[in-house]
Amino acid sequence: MENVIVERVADFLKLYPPFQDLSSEDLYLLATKVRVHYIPKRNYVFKQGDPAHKEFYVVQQGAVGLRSKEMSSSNWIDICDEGDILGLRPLFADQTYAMEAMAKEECVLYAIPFEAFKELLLNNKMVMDFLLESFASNTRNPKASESKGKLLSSNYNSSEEANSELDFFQQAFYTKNPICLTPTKTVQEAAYIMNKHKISSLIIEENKLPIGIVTDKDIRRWVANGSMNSEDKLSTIMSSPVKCVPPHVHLADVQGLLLQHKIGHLCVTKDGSQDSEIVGILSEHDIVTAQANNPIALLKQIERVNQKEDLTRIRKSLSSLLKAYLNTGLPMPYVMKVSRLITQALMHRVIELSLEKIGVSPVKFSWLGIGSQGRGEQLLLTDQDHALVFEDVPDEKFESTQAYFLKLAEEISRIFNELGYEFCPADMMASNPEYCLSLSQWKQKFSNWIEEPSSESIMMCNIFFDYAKVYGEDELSKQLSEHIFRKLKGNQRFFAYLGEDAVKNPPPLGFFRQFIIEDDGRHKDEFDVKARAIQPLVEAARVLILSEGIEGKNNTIERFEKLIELEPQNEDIYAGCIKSFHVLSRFRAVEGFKQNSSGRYLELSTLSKSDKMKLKRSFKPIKDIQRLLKNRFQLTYFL
Amino acid sequence: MGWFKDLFKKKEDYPEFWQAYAAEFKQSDLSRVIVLDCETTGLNPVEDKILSIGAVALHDNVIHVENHFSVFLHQKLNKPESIAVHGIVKNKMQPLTSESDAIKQLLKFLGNSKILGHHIQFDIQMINTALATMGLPKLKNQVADTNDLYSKFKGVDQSMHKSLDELCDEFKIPKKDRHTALGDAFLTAQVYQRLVISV
Repeated sequence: MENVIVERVADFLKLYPPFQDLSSEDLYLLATKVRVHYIPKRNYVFKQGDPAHKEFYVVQQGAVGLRSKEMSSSNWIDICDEGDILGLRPLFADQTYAMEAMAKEECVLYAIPFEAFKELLLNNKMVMDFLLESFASNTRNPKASESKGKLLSSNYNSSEEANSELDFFQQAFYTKNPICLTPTKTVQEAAYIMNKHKISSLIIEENKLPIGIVTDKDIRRWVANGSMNSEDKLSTIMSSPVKCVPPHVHLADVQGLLLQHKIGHLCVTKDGSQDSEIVGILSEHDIVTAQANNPIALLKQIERVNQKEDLTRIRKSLSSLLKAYLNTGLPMPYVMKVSRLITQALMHRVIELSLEKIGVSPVKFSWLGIGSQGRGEQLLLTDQDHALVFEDVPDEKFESTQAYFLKLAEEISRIFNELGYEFCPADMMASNPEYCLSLSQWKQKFSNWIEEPSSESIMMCNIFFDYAKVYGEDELSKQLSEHIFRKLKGNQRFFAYLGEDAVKNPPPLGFFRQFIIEDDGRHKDEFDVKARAIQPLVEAARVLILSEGIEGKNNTIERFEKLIELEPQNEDIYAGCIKSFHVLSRFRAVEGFKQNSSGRYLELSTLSKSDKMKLKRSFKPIKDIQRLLKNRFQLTYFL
Repeated sequence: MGWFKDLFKKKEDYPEFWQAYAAEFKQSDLSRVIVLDCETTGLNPVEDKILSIGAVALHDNVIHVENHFSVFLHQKLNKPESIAVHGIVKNKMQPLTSESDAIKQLLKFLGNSKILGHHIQFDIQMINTALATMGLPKLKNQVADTNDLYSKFKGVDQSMHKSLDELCDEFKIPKKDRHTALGDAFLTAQVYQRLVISV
């Protein structure tokens, strides 16, 4: 018999992963078991440390914020809205919640009892994988499966303790297509190949099946025996049988096996037995690397390195780390923070090394990152944008002083370029005499931009206002900021210009909620996520925070957070912007890593339905914030 | 007159299903609330008939979709003007149940739970009329009306007459499946949650 309630519930669920992968029978059955909760604004779904509920939740209406007590109370780790899942923890881990979930707006939640779900999970591997991924979102596994339509949150806990707990979910990654030899080859041939490829082991195969393994150790033993003969076959020295594991094996299991059998290598086969095809090899070294490839380790390495090559390697590690984070759906605030910290440390080290090379600076200076570098919002390798400010010097010394800093900047910029940061096409770099200036000159420059607003000066402001000290004297950048804020105070005309610029790109949805796409040029039919969606948010945050006279807030997210504090009445709008910014940055970064590009242009046809919905949903806050800007700066008179 | 005879009917004369229903009231269960809605041939409790009954249970203010009740009744009386409202056409696909069977099933589903509905007195009256036809007493359940709860929620003394549509709009509940008994019950249940779960 038809049941309208169950149908409504099923209609909703089937719009979202993982439910969209279920058969309609399973979906209907599941919908029958749903319980509908209503949670008023600011009430808790669960609190940190609460005993596990017997159900998990899908947000049907409203938004639920997740945060952990260990982190500052105003920081949301993630915000779940329509179609997002939360409260999965009891399905995988211990009996209490690791964070609290609070209704940011009044919410309707569909609760799904674990009991009803467990059977479905057994029969739907895709659903299981999806939930596992969204739960274990802080694995460091770089080989995790490609992210699909799942920009969703889960019970993520940032504490060390939780990390070790989640290591359980980490898959070990292995070297694919290992070098194999047949048992009839000689030991000498094997040694030659191992030497040439700098590897410590070879799998011995027969018809693609692993029958043994030869490692450095086996060859050493062969030499030590003294009875070696250059004609000796590998079959005489190989260790056999070889221990095998399946491709999807957890790090913890691998460590266990290696320890238990006192061995250094495992062969990866299709089904994990010796009677199936070889797919890879896994060494103790791989495990160590997997564990070393974490943010803390990278930061420590940066402090220690002395050579460019090492910096390049670390820059590459950062990229693969970020890529893995994005693939596993780790919350964006964390991903961005890791990226910011490591990038800053890396640049700091580059400047230190350059100073050693060029020689001590004649006067105090400050190296400034500008644009997205200044905001600390870079995930991808982008263009270099920087500037340099040095102490005022007597006129007669100016030329030689500037010459020194230009030379330093050139060296730094050259190393950045070698690390993969392209030179700025508009030459907005400290190596350009225009942007390598004394404090008074910089003050004058900013005064000009602020006092005589034009479209060009506004563009410069948009780039140079977001500066952050990367290296050098705090005092210089502080004095410059003080100067700028004095100039800005009460300057309605300038803010009107800046505000007008911030709303020049309207929310990118046209009639019938279609995406506005590029209609000519190289990126025809693609969606410019940077200019049409990210930039409007960045610019809105900037003009609002500057007009409030708040110094020292450069990051778009931090700016919106501060704005929430200052204007609680607009919390919903600003919180929406934060969420959108995270979603859009993730889209851009994922695309950038995939295409090895700036990620700026999204090919809409390759996006899944739920990704497109996520994207569209993130445009609403753009509309809201632009309306707010228009009212606040009376822009209607300008437009 | 049947009702006169019924008045003096001894308790033990009532059929087993009623006895079982009545026995439940020896205890009270405050955690379960049944949200109920009837679709009828019209608004006159004397002339008109019940066409369908839909109900869904809340346990501790959480709607349990699985715990629902839905029945379509076989009725001789069928006024074309009401079809326009509820869309139940005679001989449509739903299997139809006789009124006495429907009431019997409903009592079993209700048990001793509190009944809640929007303008619920009308629905209660319709069910009581059906019970009387079967020679049975009135429903024993406690009854609450979303309309009264709404007035209380607003802090107003006298009853404010709001339609279910108006309440759904006010609470931003998407109106789906209006004028099906089960659909209305589900919407009313959602209104109820917003009225009783304190902010």
